[in-house]
Amino acid sequence: MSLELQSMLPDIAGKQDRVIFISASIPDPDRWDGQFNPHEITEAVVAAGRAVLSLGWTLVTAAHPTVAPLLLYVAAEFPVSSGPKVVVYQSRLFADVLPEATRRFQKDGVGDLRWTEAEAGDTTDPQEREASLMKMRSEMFDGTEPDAAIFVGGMQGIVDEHDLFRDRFPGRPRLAVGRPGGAANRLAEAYVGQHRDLLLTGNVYPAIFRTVFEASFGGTF
Amino acid sequence: MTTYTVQVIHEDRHTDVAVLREAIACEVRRLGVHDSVSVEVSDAPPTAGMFAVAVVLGSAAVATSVACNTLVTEALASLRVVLPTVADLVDFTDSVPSEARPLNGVAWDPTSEPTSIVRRILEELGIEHSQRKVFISHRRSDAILMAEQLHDQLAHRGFSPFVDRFAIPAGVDFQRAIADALEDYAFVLFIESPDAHKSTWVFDEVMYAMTHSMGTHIVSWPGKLNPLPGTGRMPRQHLKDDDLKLDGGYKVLTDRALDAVVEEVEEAHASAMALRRRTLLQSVEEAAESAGRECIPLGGWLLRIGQPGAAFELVHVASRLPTVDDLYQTHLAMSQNDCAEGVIVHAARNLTGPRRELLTWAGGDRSLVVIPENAIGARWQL
Repeated sequence: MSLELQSMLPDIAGKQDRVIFISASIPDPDRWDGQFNPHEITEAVVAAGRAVLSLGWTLVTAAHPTVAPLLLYVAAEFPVSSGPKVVVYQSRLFADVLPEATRRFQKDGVGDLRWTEAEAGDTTDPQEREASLMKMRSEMFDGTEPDAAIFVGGMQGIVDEHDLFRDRFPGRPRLAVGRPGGAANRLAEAYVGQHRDLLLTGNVYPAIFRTVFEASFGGTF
Repeated sequence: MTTYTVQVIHEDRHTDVAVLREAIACEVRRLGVHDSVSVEVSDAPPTAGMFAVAVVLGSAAVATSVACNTLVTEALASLRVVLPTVADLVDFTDSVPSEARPLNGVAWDPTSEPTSIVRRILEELGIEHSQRKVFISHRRSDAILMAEQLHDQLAHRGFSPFVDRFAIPAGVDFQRAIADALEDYAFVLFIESPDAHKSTWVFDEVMYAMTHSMGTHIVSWPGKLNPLPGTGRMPRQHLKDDDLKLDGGYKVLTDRALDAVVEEVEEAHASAMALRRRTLLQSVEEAAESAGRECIPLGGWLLRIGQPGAAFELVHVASRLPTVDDLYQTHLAMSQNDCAEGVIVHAARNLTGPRRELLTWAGGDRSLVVIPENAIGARWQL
């Protein structure tokens, strides 16, 4: 028997492509007084992204200055695929949110940046941007129709995205990870489905996503 | 001060526990980390979340002790490394609890060679130099002296620091070049100076660190700065105006601020080590146990995985791309632990080109498999 070198992508021939929405952010301590751990949040986001991309599936996310670049960077480490596997929606209201360096991922075909228009009168102030965010979220869900949603960290925004996803796609899995904290922890506590304890308290993020994807969609990776 | 724990499992060997405690304290002082690291040596199980190893002081009494066997079982279940020690390896099986018998024992005589296992213990805790490699990311135009200052102080405190001097030729895939440069490091210290965000490669340094379970710490200069790209809302150590002084036109840290930064690096490094181990090693363990396999931590980043009545496999988890030395060390560990196959789990990066060819050539006809982290689930299926 000789040395066997396995590739990044397990055999995915014949497996159905799926679209997974990731809603994540690192809370702003000035606006969030609950517990959260930024390193656990990024660790969970990276694990979720790598899990989805390892299955040859597509990731959808809204622009966040840390989360979106992480997912794009993870995608760039995979072998080149037939098209962008990370779709990032961004409102023109926040044209400066994504680091300039991430634009190379679109040029390289790793990411697909989709802009939505800002609503008249909105500003980047947290109290004056809801209409633009809702417009972006609606277009994101209309444009991608995710098969499932993952929630990590975050504040009220991810609760809004959770509720919107639930209402638009009833019955599709909504998987909130509790340990990193943020609003996702409260979503995980309220969850009553399969693997509740794992999602709420699990601390080995690659294993969490392997388990829940297998349970939700079958197959292993 | 960052605290690590050594749990000692024994029966009435309190004198030897004291000897071990003193030997560890001496080595910590010798390494020069005593100002920032403390190692607690205790009979009690460590607090959840504490980075710890367990040491068994073997004896006939320990071998038959139900309580000791339970403590070993609990330590292994927590994926804590267990080091069984005996006076003479000939008596190993009769001197350690049943749960510890599959593990590799270490000969230790507390009276004649009190320090012989200390280095091994500190390696497992990540307090040895090889585990404390710190990459210092900075912008030369305004932070070069601070980078050198931190380099010297971290070296004094037992870290192995490196100040980046990237010179990546035009046209080279610099995401890969930076990843190749960083992958031997466990930790990146970012100096967020006014010019730092202008660096061509700092975005990739940040992203690589965050996507490969590396520890990070950001030291941010006072004033309104452009943040390092990709680090929005990540925690920072914010310096104040009086933390800095001028040295030949460059800003450097005051002695007090320098100590404070290194203290934070020490804490962040310990947390990152624990998180890294959990993410990488436990991920393998959970995949194997979900498939009904038994999983035993052997020390370092090695696991023995198997089922009763079937051949064992030796799993080596590397947090970077595999090297020829990894193949060799895995091959050695296979024969030492009676394993029929070796599996090297590496950082989730595409293995291509010359590195792939070299590994294929070096692997020869040995029973070795090299898999990326993201293929762990497929490896151990029911």
